[in-house]
Amino acid sequence: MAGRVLSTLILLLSILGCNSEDSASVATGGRIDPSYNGPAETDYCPGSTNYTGSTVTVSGTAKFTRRNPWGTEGAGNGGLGGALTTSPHPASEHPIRYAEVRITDPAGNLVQCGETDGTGAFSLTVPTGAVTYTLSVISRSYNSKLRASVLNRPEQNRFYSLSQTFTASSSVNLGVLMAKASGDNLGAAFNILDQFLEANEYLRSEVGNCSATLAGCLDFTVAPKVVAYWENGFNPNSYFGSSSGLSFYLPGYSRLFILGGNNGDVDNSDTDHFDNSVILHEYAHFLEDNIFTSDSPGGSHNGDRVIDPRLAWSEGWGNFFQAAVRNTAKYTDSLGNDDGTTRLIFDADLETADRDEPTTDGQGNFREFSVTRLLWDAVDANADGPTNGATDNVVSGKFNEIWAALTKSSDGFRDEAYAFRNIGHLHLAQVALNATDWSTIRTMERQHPDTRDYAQYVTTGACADESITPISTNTATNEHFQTNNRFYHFRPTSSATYTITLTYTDNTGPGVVDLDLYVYNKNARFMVAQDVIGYSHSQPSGLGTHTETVNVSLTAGTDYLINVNAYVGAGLGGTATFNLKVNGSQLCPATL
Amino acid sequence: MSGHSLSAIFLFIAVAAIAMATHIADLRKQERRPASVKKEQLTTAPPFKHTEKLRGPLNAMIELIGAHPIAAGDVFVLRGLIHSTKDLQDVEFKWSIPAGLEVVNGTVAGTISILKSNQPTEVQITLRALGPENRQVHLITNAADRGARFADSAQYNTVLQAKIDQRLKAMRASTERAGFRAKSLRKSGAKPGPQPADSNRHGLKIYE
Repeated sequence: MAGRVLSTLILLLSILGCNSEDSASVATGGRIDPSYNGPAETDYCPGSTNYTGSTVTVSGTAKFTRRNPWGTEGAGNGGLGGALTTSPHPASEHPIRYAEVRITDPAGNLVQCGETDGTGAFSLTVPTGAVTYTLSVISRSYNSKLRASVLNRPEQNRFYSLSQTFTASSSVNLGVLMAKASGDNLGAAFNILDQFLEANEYLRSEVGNCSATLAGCLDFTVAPKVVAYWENGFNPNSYFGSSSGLSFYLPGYSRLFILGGNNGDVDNSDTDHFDNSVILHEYAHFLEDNIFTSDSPGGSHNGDRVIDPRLAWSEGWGNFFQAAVRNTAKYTDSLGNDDGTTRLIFDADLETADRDEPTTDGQGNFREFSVTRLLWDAVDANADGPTNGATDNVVSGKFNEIWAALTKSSDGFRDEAYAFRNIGHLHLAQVALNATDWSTIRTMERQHPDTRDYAQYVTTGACADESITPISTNTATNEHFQTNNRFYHFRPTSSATYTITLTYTDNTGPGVVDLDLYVYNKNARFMVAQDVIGYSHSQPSGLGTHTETVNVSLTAGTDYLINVNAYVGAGLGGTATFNLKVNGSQLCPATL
Repeated sequence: MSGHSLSAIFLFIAVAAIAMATHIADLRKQERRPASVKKEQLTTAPPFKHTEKLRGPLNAMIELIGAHPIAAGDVFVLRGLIHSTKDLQDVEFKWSIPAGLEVVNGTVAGTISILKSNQPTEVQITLRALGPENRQVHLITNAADRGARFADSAQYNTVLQAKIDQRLKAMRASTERAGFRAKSLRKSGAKPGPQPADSNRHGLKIYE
């Protein structure tokens, strides 16, 4: 009886589940979610087929059109009205390099395949005969140059193809096959693919043999496979229920989602398929997720405020990487197209310190464009400054040091001792290289060369108390995030329930400093409920000494972030001194 | 297959389903925890951790005032809201009006001399639909600040907007369900299905 009831229950649940999925699929136009595993992608070309007997050769060149940002980068008034918005916008033709080529017969059977070369040229053979074949250049590469697919959506996993038919009665040159930047916008898919190749070429050029000069540096050959999902007129932010234009990378899934417009519109909406800054920025996130490692909490950022240093590092790296690959100190994101209205959605110079400027020492570790500028200063040849009393006249061409710091498994980002990674960790790793002195460019950006401002590793010991002097909240600058918080990296050596105690004293007045204690898991997204594993935030009754205590079950060898937070909702107070103890022993800075 | 085997399979699935349901209930409880935060309000994370592209300070939105157009000749009013997270000067705006609509009242393009931080400015336009087809109206705004340039675009669909809003809501719900499943898988130590890309050298990571 019970078995029957359970069976019926399961059947019912299954039916309900199926109906739910189907109705959801209909309601979302066939979209499920960005992590969805749809049908397997069609197998990549297994290699060319050798035909015996009479064959003919089909050859040609594959190219795509790129709609370039209008207005000269770094000059003019591009996108803001005036002469530079005249249509048509500048465009350029580029070869489709190292991409898959497939030839199919009228029934759709694969009869031959190969790849374009570095000029976009292809040459393949098929049996001679009065058969009309279709040659398609595919938006995929899987070779020593690049491993990437540009597909339509996770729910379908279809590639894009630039196709032309031919009859195999004699050898034929198809001439130039052009993927355009208008109409079906096929050029967009190949532009995305081409930018991935640009990134791989840059890395091979800069750090293909970096271990020869920097021990432990990971020599780059080709990046693991990435999939970019793009569809003309589709906004990936739809997955999150928003109509605001968005391109993003999905950590852990090796998937990029590139903005193709909004509800079918590409002429007046934000698109990113020709915004190489955005494409390369998101690819940089793929690299950090797959080749070194990232602890970024993700989320929004506007490039002009104090943010979580892990986010500042990750986004600053992305901004820098696109500039390095494109060899220009610009970040350019455009809106619209020839047939509509055009603007520059975000266009900023990465060389000049005219935005996201640190106002106190150490604040550069919390600002993404400060991170970007520092990395750019490490590779460019400009003698910038003086800024904040320092001039960059010594550091240039050091991408290899950045890469070494990121890829070394000891004293590098891949070092298992590192956690909650931010620019402070990069500085630690760069200093450990015993290579170039970056102190001038760090001073220019008011960055500390270590993790003292965020994720300082602590263990039990003896040390002086620390202090906090809270400031008012300001959502525009968000500087209170740094000033009103302290963040410590704690890794217990044994699994147990720990009592973590914050003791603080404020006798300064006239107000009362109110310090609270939060313990986060490794995700440690600030004030996100899922990541807070324990907290204590009682209200102090007045000046004097107060405690906050948290009892949490911690696992040996796991990273936790302890956050001392000054609550200023009831007033600022003066200065509080404080210490943290675990099971009665004080926590102090140490090296893991 | 014998009856015993079938029963055993059903029983296993049932137990698994009940365990899953209990697990989900527990997770939902955990998601609400801690419920009694009195100071810094804890927030809920999005369903999947993901990076986002840079956004400037400008933001444009369009709202419909009154009824939406149904038939040719219907007049309707759109209100644009232009918002900035910082003080900006000389903020330009432009309504992009497609063929099939005509302007009855309002300014198609203009400049807001000073846009104060977190103080949205309204720009309103009255349009007449010349036919029953869906038309996409855009409000585009742009500004410059310290050598940088920013813009944003908002879209309104004369006929389909309600359906689009419903679809967005459904997609978010679908993504949230997937994020919840991913979280459950992570907690249970299981892995989701095969990934289309190469094996991640660090192993699969599921983010909440």
